[in-house]
Parts: sequence; structure tokens; C-alpha cells
Amino acid sequence: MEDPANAVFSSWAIPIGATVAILLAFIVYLRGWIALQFRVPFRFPVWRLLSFAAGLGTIFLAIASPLDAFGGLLLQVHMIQHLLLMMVAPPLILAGAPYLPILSGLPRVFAREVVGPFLIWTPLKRIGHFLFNPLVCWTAFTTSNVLWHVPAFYELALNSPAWHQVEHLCFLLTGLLFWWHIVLPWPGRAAWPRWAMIPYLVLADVQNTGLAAFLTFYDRVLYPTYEHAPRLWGSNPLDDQVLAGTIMWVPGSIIFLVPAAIIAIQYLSHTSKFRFEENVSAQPARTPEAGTAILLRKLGLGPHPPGRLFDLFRVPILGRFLRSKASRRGMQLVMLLLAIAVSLDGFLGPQVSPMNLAGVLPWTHWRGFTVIALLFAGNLFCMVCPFMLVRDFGRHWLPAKWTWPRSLRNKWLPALLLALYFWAYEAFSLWNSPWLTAWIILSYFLAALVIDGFFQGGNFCKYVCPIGQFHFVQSLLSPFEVKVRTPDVCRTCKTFDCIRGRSEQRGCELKLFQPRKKGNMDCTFCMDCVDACPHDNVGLIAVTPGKELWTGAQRSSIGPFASRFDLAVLVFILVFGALANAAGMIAPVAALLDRARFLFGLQRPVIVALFVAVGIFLIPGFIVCTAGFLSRRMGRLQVPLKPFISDFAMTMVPLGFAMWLAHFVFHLFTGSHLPIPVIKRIALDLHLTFLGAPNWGIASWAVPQLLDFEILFLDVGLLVSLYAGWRVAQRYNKSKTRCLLIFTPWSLVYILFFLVAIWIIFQPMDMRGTMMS
Amino acid sequence: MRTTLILGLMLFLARTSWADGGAIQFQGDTGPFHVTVFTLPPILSVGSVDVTVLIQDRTKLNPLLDARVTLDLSELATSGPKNEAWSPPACALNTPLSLAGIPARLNHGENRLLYGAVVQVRSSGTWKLKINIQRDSEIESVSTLLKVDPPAPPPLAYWHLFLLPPLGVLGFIMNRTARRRDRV
Repeated sequence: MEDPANAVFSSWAIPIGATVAILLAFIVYLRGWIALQFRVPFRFPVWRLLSFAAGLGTIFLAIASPLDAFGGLLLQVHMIQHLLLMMVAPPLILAGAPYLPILSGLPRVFAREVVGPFLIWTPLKRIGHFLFNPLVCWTAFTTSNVLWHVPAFYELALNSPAWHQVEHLCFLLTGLLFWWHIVLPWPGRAAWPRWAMIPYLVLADVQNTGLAAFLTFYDRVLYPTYEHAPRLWGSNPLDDQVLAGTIMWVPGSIIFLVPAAIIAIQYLSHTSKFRFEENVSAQPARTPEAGTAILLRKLGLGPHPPGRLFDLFRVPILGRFLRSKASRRGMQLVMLLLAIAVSLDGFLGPQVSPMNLAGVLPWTHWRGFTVIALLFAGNLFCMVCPFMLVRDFGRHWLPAKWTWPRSLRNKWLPALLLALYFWAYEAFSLWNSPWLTAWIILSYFLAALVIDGFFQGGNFCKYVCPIGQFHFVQSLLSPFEVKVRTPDVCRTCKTFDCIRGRSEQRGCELKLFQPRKKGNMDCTFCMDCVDACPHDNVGLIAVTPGKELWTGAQRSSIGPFASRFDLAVLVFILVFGALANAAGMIAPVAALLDRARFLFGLQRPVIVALFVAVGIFLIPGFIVCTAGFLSRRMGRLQVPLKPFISDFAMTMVPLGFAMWLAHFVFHLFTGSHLPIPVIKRIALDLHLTFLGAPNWGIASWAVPQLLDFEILFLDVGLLVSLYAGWRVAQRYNKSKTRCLLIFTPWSLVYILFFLVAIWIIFQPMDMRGTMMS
Repeated sequence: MRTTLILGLMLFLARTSWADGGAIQFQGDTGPFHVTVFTLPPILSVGSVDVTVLIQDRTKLNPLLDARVTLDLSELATSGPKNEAWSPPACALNTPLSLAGIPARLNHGENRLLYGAVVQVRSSGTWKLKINIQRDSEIESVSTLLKVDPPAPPPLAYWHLFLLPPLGVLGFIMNRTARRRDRV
């Protein structure tokens, strides 16, 4: 029998959102604290870091430990939880003097562009001044304390998880306000004389004592929930209430009176905090290379030299792995073997999609992991693309000397292939046919072999591969870019090896000249330029995701986006294709297609062709042209419509990416575990019995919260598209009113897209790629 | 100020975890057991409902952690209109086909003294919840009625997630206003 005491102490639950937020806050603080060690180390000794960490740890303890699990059953436990949130966590956090470390720890652009303007905005400053008035802080703290202990409000919090969180938030925030004047975190200044903090604390204690005494001496159970709660180990609810009152009274009073006594002693002994602060600020600047700073430098945590960007290649182990040609070749080989396995199973295995590698890996897992990689890193799939090996094989054994026709040096062919793919996917249920999937993979290998075997350069990737185009476009939102480290080095370079190559190392086959390359468009992350650069001046550099969407710059081998209508059409196909592709699996669209099929007596491929034509070309074309026309007219712009629409096309990439992400992550999670039984089945087919029999009813990560994430992806996609649209509109006219007029029609297009996407993800869906399909 | 905001955000982001008690739906004795049944959300509506059960020995009220607990959920016949459940599309995979004999486990949620399981209530109306308890040779059961309200329209159930775009736009407008004032 399990020991109840063990069960009590193991009653922890990690609230994911809050835990992530606590960790993020700590990371930001730590980053800032380290930076400040090299500037003002005497202001931020180690104990400040420890205090801040302890404050965050206290919050975690209050909301994740058994205190939270048993707060609804025992008032005394709930009281401890509240004391931690009101009286322990806030002073500890404030003792960490978090203002400067957090500000210094935020990404520089974010701190300067997003937070900075608010910090000096007069209305916010006024609100801040009002809120940080000691009288307001004291009143807020005591009112919150009294109000939430009124039975009606306490019961409200106990019976509603949402109100319970509001209650905790209220305690924490008012606690931070109250304790601010006691701790006075640097660089804060005292609003009242220091001696005034003694009555400030004592009066708060009087209020606390009054409330605690009422709880302790009241002869009935105050909160009905605890009266009816099960009595663990025979506990009595009235005794529980008395104990809760005592906890509030005794430890509560100690927390108020100890600092009051310290302030009184400091005041009387003339060693007030202010004198100490004055002495500190009067100190001559110490050498920054002392104490903790030296240790941090030894640990490799020294300050970044000004202007140096974060380079993934400089990260230990990972950087070396990504740079190594052998590791890239190794990964390409693994992917090639996987592609061969998928093709073989597609041809020879059972023609039931969720039971076949060809039905599971490419449509569920590869697509899902690819979009996640694009979101967090970049075009990693192209880096490890198995077709790379086939292309190199073709180059070696075939002539590879013809020039790619000029008429095909654009994105029209891949745009057409993408549209064809969207049609074929739905018309022939590619996801449900391992045999067809295997044929597609085989055709892909053949196309890569022939095109790059007979033509010079990387034409297959740049002008043909629809998958590559998908990655190029979505990687405009990736946080990393293959980029020049120091532009000055390139200015003096005479070799241009990054594009021309050397005898032993080819340059960029996609004709992207590093010094003029901007963004990830057309970049396969092959790292040829990195290997070719004689100055080791190309890195995998962190960039602001999406910045390239709104800059109208000239790009090497691409030109300005406004001049590339072919690219704009490709982007629109990808963006609206995201909607059409997801819509294909929802019940209302399936019913509509079936009805149309029976009504007009048409075959499924024809009906799907009509659906694709209307869903990807006609309706989006009409909407985009109307938005472009109205935007140009309202902004009184004298620019041709085609480049104008091409410019705004890029602003829709975030929404399209969000929809792809929502769609593919949905499949990845609903079919998460399917490769396990499929591998077992293949093993059995090969007469290998050690893995056991496959369990086709295996669980998945299909949790209800999946929909929350899908909505959040679309929320963020909408916001980034709106911002990108605004920035592009600004390029056409700086005037706020005119800019708004240019922006409005496009913003309506984004919102319409968002609403349709939301409608789609709420519909009943065909669970493609799973046994339920 | 910033810390206040960040910490505020932290708790705002905290999600409700299942099986932390909730509203008491039944409390009483059966055989040697004292049984308390909780549901979350406290006011039940069609969809996922978290049912947790505390089993104590009747005399000393010590929690019992070695019982085998199953839940049976059955709908009582009613004449009024019914509202079918809506659940997120992904849930179609994990929705149990049968509402009988659903095992309630100790490691289900935060409070490890409670046996718990998530049940899918398919339509509004009155439902009968039967809790079967087996410990050693003793087999007991208790039943209670649950009044289940119609479900909220799906987008309304997710209203908080739709706040991000308007809040983002508002923050952007304020940011621009703050910059302009600064320049003046």
C-alpha cells in the first residue's frame, strides 16, 4: 500500500505556462546580471542573483507544490500559499534589483524598440508615479488582503480556477508594490523618508493581525468549502481555520516587524541604506575584471564585443557539427536511406497509409519536423536533403555542362508544379496511397539526377523543386541566416570564392553573392559559401525573424521583391494553398465536394481541379487585386499594380506559415507514435520477431490543448503580417494618415485570411495519417 | 515596474491543471469507505469533465491508496432538447468509445490522494455517475446525478486566445504614440 505521506509530498504539478514564464524571467535576469558584472559589479553582487532566483523559486513552490494541490482541502495550507505569494516572493524578487538586469537581459532590439518607448512615455510614467506612491501601495496591499478573505470572494476563487489565478496574481502584484518601498531596489529612490517605513510596516501588521485574529477567534467555519471538504485524517475544519489564522498572525507579523526593527536600528545608528548607497555611488569605478567578472570570463560568459552577432557556428559542439562537411554528408546519407526505405515499403508494403512507412513518415513526421525546424532554426531540411547526394552523383557521371534555359530562370515552373501538387494531393489522396508516394519520391530523385546531371549549377533547387520553394519562402521567417560576419572583410576581398568557388570547393550554386545576399530566399543552407570563403567570414547568424519581408532591398540573384511577380505568385499559391490544403480534410468541404460531384456527375480529379482553381487562384486573385487596387487608390500612389502587389505579397508569408504550422503540427501530434507499430510490422515482415507485434491502437499526443497552439500560431502569424504590411506601406508614404490608407485594404485581407483559417481549424476533421482516417 | 509586468504575465499564463479537486458532487459512506466525488469544472457543461474521487476509511478517515476505482457514466432519459458535445478535432482520437468502466487512477492529476479520470460528457441533461470501488475482497459502489449544461459555442470557449491580436495591435499603437511623443 502506498504511503499517504509520500502521496502528499509527491503531489506536484508543473503548470507549463507559468513554469516557462518563470524560467524565461530567470534567463533574462541572468543574462542581464552577467552583462552588468562587467559594468557595475559592485551594484550586483551574487546575493542579488540568488535572491531573485529564490523569489521566483518561491512562486514556483506556491503554485506547483503540494501547497497548491491541498489548498482546496485545508485552509492552513492555502494560507501558507498566500503568505508565500504576498510576503516572501515579492521582497526576495525586489532584493534582486531586477529593473536593470531584466532590461539588460532582453534582446537589444526588443528592449530598444518595444520596451524603451514605454519607459519614457509620459502617461505611463504618471501611472507609474501614482501606483508607486507609498500610500497607494499600502492601500492596494491591505485592501487586496482584506477583500480576498471576505467569504464571498474567497469562495469565488475556490470555485473558479480562473478567479483563483486572479486572486494569486493580485496577491503577488500588490505584494511587489508594497515591498518595493521597503526593499528600495536600485536604482529606485525613496518617495518618503526612511523612518516613515516603520509606521508603514506596523500599520500593515495591525491590519494583518486584525484579520488573523478574526479568523482565529471566530467560532464558526467562515468558508463553506472548507466546512464541506473531506476531513483528511479526521481534521476539524474549525481547528484548521484557527491554525490558518495563527499562521497568518505569527509568521505574518514577524515578516512585517523584522524589517521595521531593522529600519529603526539603521535609522537610529545612522547607517541608513541611503548613506550606504551614497558611499557606493561615490566609489571610484573599480576594475571590472575582478571577482565574479573574472570567473564569468573564464566560463566563457564574457560580454559580447560591440557589433558581434550571435553565430550558431560559434556554439560549442553544435557549431562544429553544422560546419562539418562530413556531418552534413552523414545526415544526407541517413535521409537517403530513409527515402529508400520509405519507397520500398511504399511499393512492397501494405497499401494502408497508417500501416506503411510511405504513409507515415513523409506526410506526418517529415512535414511536421520541417516546419518546426524552419520556425526555430532555418532551412535545415535542404541542408540534409537526400537529393543532394543524387545531384552530386549526376554531376559526377553525367556531362552537367548545358545552361539552364533563360525562359525558365524564374519561379513560374515551381509555382505551376506546386499548384499541380496541391491538386494531385487532394484529387488522388496522395497521403493515403503509399504506392503513389513511393512513385513521387522516385520521380523526384530522377528529376534531380537528370536536371543537375545535364545542366550547370543548382537549377533543380532554384528553379524546379516545389519542396525547396516551400522552404525558401517559409525560411524568410527563420531566426538564422547564412550571412557575412563582418562586411568590411568582404569589401577588401578580391577572390569572390563564396560565389565562384575554388578548385577544391565549389561556390554558391544558386548564385547568391554573400556580401549582397539578404534573407534566406533561395538559400539551401548547403554551406558551400561557408567552406569556400577564404576569410572564414560566413556564419549562421541570428537575425530578426521576418525582417526581410518588409525591406525593399536589392537582393543578390533575386532583385527587389517588388520586381518579382513570379515570386509573388509563388508566395500567393503557398499562402492560399495552406488554406486550401487544410480545408480539404474538413467535413464541410468534403461534403461540398461530394455534393458537387454527384450534382454535376464529374470525376473527383475534375471537381478538385475546380476547387483548387477557385480556392487558390480565382478568389485569392480577386481579393489580392482588389486590395492592391484600393490600397494604391486610397494612398494616391502612382506605381504600377504588379510590383505593388508583389511587394505586399511577402507580407502574407507569416499568415501562410502559421497555417502550415498549425496544419502540420496537428498531423505530427495526432500521428506521433505511428512509426512504432509500422517499424514493428516491417520487422515482422522480415521475420524479425524481437520487436513484438504491432499495436495499431497506439496512443498519440493528440491533446485538447493542440487547438490552443493552433490558434496561437495563427494569432502570431496575423500580428507579424499586420506589422510587415504596415512597414511596407510606410515605404510608400511616410505620412501616418496616407500610410494607414495604403495599409487598410491589406489589413482586411490578413484578417479575412485569419478568420477563414480559424473557421477551418474548428471544423471536424478527417484524421488523415491515423487509423481513424 | 517591468518586473511587476513580467511576473504578472507569468501567472496569467498559468493553466488550470486537471484533477485538483473542484466542486464536491457527492460525499457519503458506503461499506467501509467514506467517499467524496469532485468534478472540475465546478459547473458542468458538455465536453471534458474531470472526475476525482477521494476514498477514506470510514472510521479514521485515512486516505486509502490501494483501491481499484472505475467510473460508469450513463445518461438519464429526458424529454427536452439535447445539445451534443463539441470537442477539439484532435480529441476525436482519444475520446473513449465506452463510458462504462473508465479506470480512475491515482497519478491522474496534481493531488495524489485522489483517484481521477477525464470523462467526455456527450450531451446536456442529467447523467448518472457511478463509482465502483474494489479493495481486497470488498466491492462497493456509489452513484450520484450530474446536471450538465449545454456547451458554450466553440469560439467562445477559446475567447481568451483571440485576445492576442487586438492586444498586440493596441500595444503597437501605444508604442508608436510613445515614440512620437518622445520625438516631440
